[in-house]
Amino acid sequence: MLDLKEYEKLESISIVITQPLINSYSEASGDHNLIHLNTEFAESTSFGHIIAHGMLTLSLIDQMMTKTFKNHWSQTGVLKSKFRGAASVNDHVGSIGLLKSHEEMDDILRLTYDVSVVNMNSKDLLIGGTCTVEVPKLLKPKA
Amino acid sequence: MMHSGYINIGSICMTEELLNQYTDAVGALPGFFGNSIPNMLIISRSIAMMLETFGIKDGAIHSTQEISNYDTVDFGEVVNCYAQKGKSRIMKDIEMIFVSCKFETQKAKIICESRSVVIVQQDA
Repeated sequence: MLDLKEYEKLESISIVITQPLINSYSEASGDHNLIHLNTEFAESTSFGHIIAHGMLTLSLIDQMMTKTFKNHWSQTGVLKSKFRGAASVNDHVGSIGLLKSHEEMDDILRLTYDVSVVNMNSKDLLIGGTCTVEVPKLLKPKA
Repeated sequence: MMHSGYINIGSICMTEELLNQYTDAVGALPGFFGNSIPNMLIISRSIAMMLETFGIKDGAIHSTQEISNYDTVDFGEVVNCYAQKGKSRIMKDIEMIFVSCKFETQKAKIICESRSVVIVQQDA
């Protein structure tokens, strides 16, 4: 019988959101939306302050999947996510990945994870969703 | 290859400098991605192209994001980004904009696809 213990919980990735990090992400992505960069503009939005790019926060899930599954994630991974809240400057945010289900197909194992990004202090959910990845049955995720 | 209903919103040349910049910008340690270029880098850069192409205003925020990975790219390869804007939906004071993107190399190898929903406040 297949032992899925090693697949059950993924190693979390966490960062502290800072304005320099947001600025750096704006440069790297080319996304200079004022809601991430301009205090006066951000104060006029429903958030009332600068928020991090959703894709910056979402990158924690991508990093978590990459760390464990390497190219299997880049070549077979599917991510479905919904943004539930926004990360602000000084927030400590981290990813969570818990095995939801698995499916065996010949030599391949299809794993589906419940994934999320949460504010590590307030525990507020920022992103929720699922990730599916296909790996060879012999792959040891943390080897 | 042009996909029916999609328009070319730009191209990205994959370089080591771009990967290093992205690695730093997402708070990862240098070398985290090794020599593998994450498709998330491509999709991240396409968001700005998509916002500009479709004239989506500052203040727009992400509602949902789906990504399907099919393959990887190497340094030196150029990825073409194609996008299709779906019909917008207006609910009270917000507009929901649906955009699908396809990403492929110049040799027509599909790298990944994405589907985004962005929300724009009507008074933003």
